[in-house]
Amino acid sequence: MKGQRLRRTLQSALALLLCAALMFSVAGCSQEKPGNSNAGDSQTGESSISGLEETGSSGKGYYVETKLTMPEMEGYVWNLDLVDSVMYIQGGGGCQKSEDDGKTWTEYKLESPLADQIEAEGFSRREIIFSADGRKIIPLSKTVDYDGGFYSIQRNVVVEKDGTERELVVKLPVGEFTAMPGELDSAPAVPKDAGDYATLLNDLTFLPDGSLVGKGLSETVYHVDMETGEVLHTIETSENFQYTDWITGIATTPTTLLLISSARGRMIDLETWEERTDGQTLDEFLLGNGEIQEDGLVTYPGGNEPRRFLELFSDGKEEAFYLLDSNGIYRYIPGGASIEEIVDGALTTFSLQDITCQDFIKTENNGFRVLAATMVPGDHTSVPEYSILGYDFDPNAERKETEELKIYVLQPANDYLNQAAAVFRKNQGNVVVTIEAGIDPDAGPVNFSDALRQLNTNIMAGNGPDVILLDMMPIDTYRNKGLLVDLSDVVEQVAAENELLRNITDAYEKDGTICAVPTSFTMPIVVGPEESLNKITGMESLVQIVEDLRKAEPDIKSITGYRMTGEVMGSTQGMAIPTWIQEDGTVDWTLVEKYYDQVKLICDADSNTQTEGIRGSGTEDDPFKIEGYIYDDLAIGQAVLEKESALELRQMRTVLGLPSMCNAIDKGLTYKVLEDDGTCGFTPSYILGISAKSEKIDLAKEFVKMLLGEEMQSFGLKSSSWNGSSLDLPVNFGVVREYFAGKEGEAFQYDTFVGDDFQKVSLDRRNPTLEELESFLAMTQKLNAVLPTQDVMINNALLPQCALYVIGEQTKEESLKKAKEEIELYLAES
Amino acid sequence: MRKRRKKQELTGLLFVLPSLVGVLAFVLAPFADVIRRSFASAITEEWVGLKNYQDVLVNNAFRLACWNTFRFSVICLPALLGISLLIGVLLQEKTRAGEAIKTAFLFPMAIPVASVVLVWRTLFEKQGLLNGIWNGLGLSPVEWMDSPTAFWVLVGSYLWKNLGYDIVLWMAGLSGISSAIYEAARIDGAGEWTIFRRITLPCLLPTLFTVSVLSILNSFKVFREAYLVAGDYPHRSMYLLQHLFNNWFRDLSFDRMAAGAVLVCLVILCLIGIMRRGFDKE
Repeated sequence: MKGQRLRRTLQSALALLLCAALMFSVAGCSQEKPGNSNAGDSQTGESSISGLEETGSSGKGYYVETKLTMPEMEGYVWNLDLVDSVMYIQGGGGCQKSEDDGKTWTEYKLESPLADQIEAEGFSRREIIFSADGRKIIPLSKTVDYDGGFYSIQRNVVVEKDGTERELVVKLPVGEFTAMPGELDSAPAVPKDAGDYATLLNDLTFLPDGSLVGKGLSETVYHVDMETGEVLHTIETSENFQYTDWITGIATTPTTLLLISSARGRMIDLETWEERTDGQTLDEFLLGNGEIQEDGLVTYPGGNEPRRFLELFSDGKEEAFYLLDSNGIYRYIPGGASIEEIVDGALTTFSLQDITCQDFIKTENNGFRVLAATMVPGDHTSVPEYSILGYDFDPNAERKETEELKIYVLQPANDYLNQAAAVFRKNQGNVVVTIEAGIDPDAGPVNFSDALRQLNTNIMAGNGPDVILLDMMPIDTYRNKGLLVDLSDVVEQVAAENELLRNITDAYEKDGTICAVPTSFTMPIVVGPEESLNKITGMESLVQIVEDLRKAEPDIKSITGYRMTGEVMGSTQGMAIPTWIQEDGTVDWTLVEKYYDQVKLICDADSNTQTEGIRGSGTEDDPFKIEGYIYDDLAIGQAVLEKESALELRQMRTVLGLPSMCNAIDKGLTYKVLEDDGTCGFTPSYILGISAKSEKIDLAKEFVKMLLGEEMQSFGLKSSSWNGSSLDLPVNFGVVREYFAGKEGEAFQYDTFVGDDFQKVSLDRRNPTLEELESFLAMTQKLNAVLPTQDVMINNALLPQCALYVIGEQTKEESLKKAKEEIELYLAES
Repeated sequence: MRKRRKKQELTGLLFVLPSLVGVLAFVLAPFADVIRRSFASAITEEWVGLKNYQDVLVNNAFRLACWNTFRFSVICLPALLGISLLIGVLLQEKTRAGEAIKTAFLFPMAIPVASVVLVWRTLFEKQGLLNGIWNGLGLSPVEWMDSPTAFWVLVGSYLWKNLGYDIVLWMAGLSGISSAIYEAARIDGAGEWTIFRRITLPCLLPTLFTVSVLSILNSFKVFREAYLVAGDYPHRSMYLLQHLFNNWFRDLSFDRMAAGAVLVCLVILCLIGIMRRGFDKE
């Protein structure tokens, strides 16, 4: 009886246990609470910099960013230095110093008759190297032409604290005397009679004992005696790291010399001059998510490097190194197990995509001064705009609670979106912008449909994005489902202060509401002689003109300027597609068939003996290859001017192409937007929508406003380029006017590279006049039909099938049948 | 005595409770939510009454998918049950060859779907193996996956994949029939066909119910192969309900999806109910 009771008790206990386990597992499935993200973690906890204590992301105390006065300097600026509380800034335009922490600046010239004498021999002064004990070095260098290449020679003038001066001849090994290859295939040895100066030592740094280190051209680092110029120690690049040891910074603490590259740090014990082996933490930090390949090259998933720049600093007194990259400022104690984040770059100017930090120093008050350069992405020729940023710890500064704004894009984010995120974060102060990519190549193969399903799952789970970039997404479906918030108030507010192209921004207007706002667009244009263009009034006349031109010019490489069927369709679909979809949502197959025929006629007429009737793939063996101009958005009309094609049908993507169009006009050509009987299609891009499920609709609207506003539209305009990594034609026409303001009608030269051998050519360019800008504006205002290219399902069914027909892989009937089956099924679902 | 009985009931309930909670939390509650959503709009979740059901019932894609699914089930289920039973009966004799054949029939179940898809593509693409043979025979190539033949490829794939499983189930049922009954029938002069009709089939009725239900459920799994081979929009003949639901999910049509799911569920429940009733009568 007792045993039975015991058994029953045990049974009950077991049942309860199982029940509890199940309950816990159910509870375990619950969602993680927001706010547990590690955003802002970096600013929490106690800083190891003495005297600084931070109290958390929403508490008091953090490094506040300020902008210091930047002295007027011509040309490139090189670096910042801090010696005995005096800040120096040096560049091609000389040196300036400030004794009041960057408030005022005065010119500083280090008097050195010896340096002046060497300068008179054709040498140029480089940046002065300051030592803590008051000694200075003035390196002077010049290049010497040699055997098709050139080599550099360098002389160093040492100015002692008392003003006496002498020349320091650094005796480097012969192997370092290497000329730059120039146009030669390999670097030749510099002739023996080149003299003792035939070298160039960069990144010169004083060690605590007063000796000097610097790196040679082969990335070997030399330790040099300051009195005799003899090399005391040599730190060579290891064989396995010959590509990764491209040294980007040299700094020293009292005991350790540190050399950093993008892949690892090498710490040298200054007592034994042996390499330390306790720098794994630093190596991991520097390498980030990169992987060192067998040949020593570092690769990153998706080609995305974890940082855009990397700088190193140490004052030589403290046993710590400071690192600065696009993600923040960090402190590392040699051999330490962690790297401390001092300043979170995400909340500073560092995070802006057009900012590169060139140098930084730490002040005596544990603040930082950063020399930053604002560059136009992709433009490496213009002198950037420089600024000095200050970061000082303010124990009373209050940080607001951080909010997260989630942006969803199908394709991985690019520079433009990253910039938008960074600017928004900076403007708002307390907002973390997260960009989530639906199709991320790093995360494995995900197709379009899967990405949408994933997005829908997140939306329904209450974990969806606030802002959705709707390019290539089913906008109409989302609108009909009530997913998209009305943005008409946002458009009205921006339009009140800006010159918006309302025909583009209101493209998705229906029943008085705007569910999606394009922030840029592309439009199909045709460039050529006026008499030809006047005859083009639609697809039919285009077919006719292409046929006529081919008869008239049988030997010209191309008539349309295109080499692939897809490209012909890319330009002409704007005239045809808008009419295909009928009001009831079905497809007018008669028009589709007509379009297939017309594209075929254009391609057939365009082909000549060089193409053998088949459009090529654009590979090396493609006989129909037009090199250079046609793919350069900044060389509109050049293929026609160079007689490579009779016309140019193309998508205009950037207003930076306007000067080339003006040049074409000057040389007798003209341009127009392709239209068919009043139908003038355009392709919207960077289309923004706000999720109705978002809890931060107001914040999301601010983000949309910012993208339509001058700052981001201007950034997009300046950084727009052929590779599509930025905005297309901006919807805010004000920024176009602003861009050309003051230089209307100005002529200039544009350098580009053409052909297999990348031959450099200089092309004439002219900025548009005010009248031409108005005429361009009028042309953009004619655009009246959104291409349903965002309906990927229809596009994927119709256009590839057309291409298969045109290149002869299928009959027209087969192509139409396949397209029809798929589209009808797709349309039947809705 | 009553107290003891109550205690026993409570213990029983406690044992059932974990799975009951599981079913409630992961099956019944979500399904209740699906029913709720079937009467509401997708995003705003406003009450729309029977609109979603109306939309679904007049939707051409839904009709096509229902018809294809019905046709697939009507063709596949009897074929699978019949062939597997026949092979099961033949393999009943425990010979070495029989064991090997049984293992061979089970083999497709162990092959990952991705590999099956690879084989499909190798075989049935326009430039695939089968068209190679076709060409060798002087016949013009067939668009296996882009014509009505796609449906029969799907049927073949389903039979190939599930035959082994059903054979094992039948053989389990067959092993439960006492050999004494067969011996007695033979002594009474019954022939093999009579024995099969009068003894084997009636004794296998409980197994038939299990095999049928499992085969119906397995028939829905063929979507994986079809999706991986032909994507969202396969040839019309192999466009199944899961394709439609999958595409509705992509297009945020949760409202229609919910209504469609409720309808399909009702049909399946009715079907199982009728089968249950039929078997109970037997």
